[in-house]
Amino acid sequence: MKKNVIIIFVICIIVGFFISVSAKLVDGQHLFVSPNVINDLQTTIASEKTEIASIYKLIDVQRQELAKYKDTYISDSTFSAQLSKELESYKIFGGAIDLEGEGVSVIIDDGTRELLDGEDPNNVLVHDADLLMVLNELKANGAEAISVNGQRLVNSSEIACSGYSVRINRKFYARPFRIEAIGDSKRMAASMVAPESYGALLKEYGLTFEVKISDNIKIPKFSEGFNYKYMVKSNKGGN
Amino acid sequence: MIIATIIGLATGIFLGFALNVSYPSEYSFYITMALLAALDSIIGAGRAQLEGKFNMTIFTTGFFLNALLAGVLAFLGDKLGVPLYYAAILVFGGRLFQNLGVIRRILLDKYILRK
Repeated sequence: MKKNVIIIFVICIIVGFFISVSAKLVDGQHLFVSPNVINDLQTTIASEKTEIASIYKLIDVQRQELAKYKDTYISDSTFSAQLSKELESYKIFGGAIDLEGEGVSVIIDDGTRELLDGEDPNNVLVHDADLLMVLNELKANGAEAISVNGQRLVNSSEIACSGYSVRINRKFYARPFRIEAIGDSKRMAASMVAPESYGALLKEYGLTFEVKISDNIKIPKFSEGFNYKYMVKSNKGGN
Repeated sequence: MIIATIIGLATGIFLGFALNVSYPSEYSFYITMALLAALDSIIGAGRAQLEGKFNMTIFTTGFFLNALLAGVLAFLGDKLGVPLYYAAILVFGGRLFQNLGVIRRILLDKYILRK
């Protein structure tokens, strides 16, 4: 009898234990799910799984394709030709290459006339501002590449007054200034000698201002080297 | 005997909540079915005890076999897509009420109506 009580007691402990563990675990969830719903969900899950598998397969295929394209593109001559063409155009824009072509050359020199009484001698000297005005007019009329006294002008080229000389690309140049520009030669020459142009004004002041059209203007490459400290490639959008 | 049953159940429930034990939730349904059978066995044991024909062997074997059958029925029903566990719920649930009714009547006879 005593043994029976102990056995019953132990069994009851086990049952109670499982009751509370189940209650904790289930807590009223998914008790009333019909087999139909379970079946539907299983079908959905299975179809999703097959879809995921097929998508993974697709990714693999695309990766292989991509690798193939990379291989062929790098070895493909047309692609590398395209690349080198692009590189060349960037070199041309950036001034890393010697250029030649149709264009004009403009020579500006100090005036040789006698100064008037009490006249400022600056009136007959070439200044950095004069050069800048002329260069701007050339650019406005289709100059594609410009050099001043053999210094290729790039986006960072400065033309600054420095006493009796002018500083261009951190080098100092004195008169005469020889501006050479590649571009539409007739248009640029016309703009240089037009009545309202800055060149006409310079001539009026008595400076030497000559424009020559040439079929073979040679512009050397920018040889000073770039030294960028602050600008970095933007990560936001674009290339 | 009945006191031992109640104390045992209470202790078990307390232990279950106190200890941090759990099992995979996909088995919870089968274990719930087995628990129903186990409860039925315990109530049946109480009734047999009161009727004076309690047999430990019958109780123990019935306890485990019924629990096992309930769980297996639920599992099989899930696999076949037919809710076979209804059978277990109906049989064991019905017997729970039936046994409880008999116990109530015996106790009433014994302690109240006899007076």
